Amino acid sequence: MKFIDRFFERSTRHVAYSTSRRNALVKFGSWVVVGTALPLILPVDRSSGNAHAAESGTPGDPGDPQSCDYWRYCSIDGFLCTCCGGTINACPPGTDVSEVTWVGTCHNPADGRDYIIAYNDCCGKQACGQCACNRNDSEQPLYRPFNNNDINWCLGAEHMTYNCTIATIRGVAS
Amino acid sequence: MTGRTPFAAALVLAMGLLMAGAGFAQSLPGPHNRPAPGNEAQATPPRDAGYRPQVNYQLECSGCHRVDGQGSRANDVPRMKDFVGHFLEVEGGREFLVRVPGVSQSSFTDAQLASLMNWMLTSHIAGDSTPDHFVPYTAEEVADLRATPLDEIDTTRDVLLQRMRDQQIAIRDGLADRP
Repeated sequence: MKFIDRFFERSTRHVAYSTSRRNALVKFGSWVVVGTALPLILPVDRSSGNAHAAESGTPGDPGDPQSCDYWRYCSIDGFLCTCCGGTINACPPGTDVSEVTWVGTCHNPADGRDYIIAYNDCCGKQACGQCACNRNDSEQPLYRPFNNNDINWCLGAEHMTYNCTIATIRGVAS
Repeated sequence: MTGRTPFAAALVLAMGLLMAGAGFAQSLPGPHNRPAPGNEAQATPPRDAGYRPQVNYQLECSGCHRVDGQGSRANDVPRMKDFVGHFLEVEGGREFLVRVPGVSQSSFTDAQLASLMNWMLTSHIAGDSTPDHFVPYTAEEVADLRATPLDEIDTTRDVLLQRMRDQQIAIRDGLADRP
């Protein structure tokens, strides 16, 4: 028993001599810091669904409205307002929607139906310059102006400067 | 020469930056873009798609006359809402409605146009302005009228509006203060 007693006394004294409380606190503290920060350092999927927007979007309206591949853009010619501070249905702040426009049709992959799409231009600020997109699936030549997307439809707006284009659904084409 | 080298380097750098900027402004679709499923091919033209008259109205009329026929004063597009039917009450008005450029030069067949006109004149667009004794257009009638387009559109229109005034019909075409 005396042997065990001496063994523990010596080893305890050795630890007490070779370490300091301050050092131990420092080391403990750094582990606390690292431990707290660990979840932030680990590779976590922070996209929270954005990465899948290209596949899903909203049910019935699939795709990424900031991509030229989005189904409603099948006949668009211009800058996408979704990249310019606006939405798929609304102009960016500081611009006005053109009263007149042209209207085409696009195929919605979600339900397999064709929809009537109005491509109103947003007007009153300089060209947005983001997400230029030009597809002409349901466009017709300029001599049918009501089906042509080469026209600057800001021609009748208060300010004729073209900024970007939205794509609103007007109904089902059938 | 030593003084020129940094200048030349700066010039090359500046041009490189300019070209990089031009690369960002490229027009899409690019080689990696794919149309949404079902949109790979050209859409069927409205004339061949066999849509309902109200859909045909949307595709070739509503862009300027607007969905409910309000028209656009800023663009000199006449208002049809609750007014267009009054043209049927004056001499030459029935013919005028088909001979105007938007109708006669649309892509539709004579039969499609007749259906479109009959729908428009009996829908919410014409509202109560269409007379009760309205006789629907036929494809043959539309064919004859399209064959003789209007030469003097505004002049013809002014004559018709005057005939309406003579019948005490209020002119609500949205263009009253037109210069």
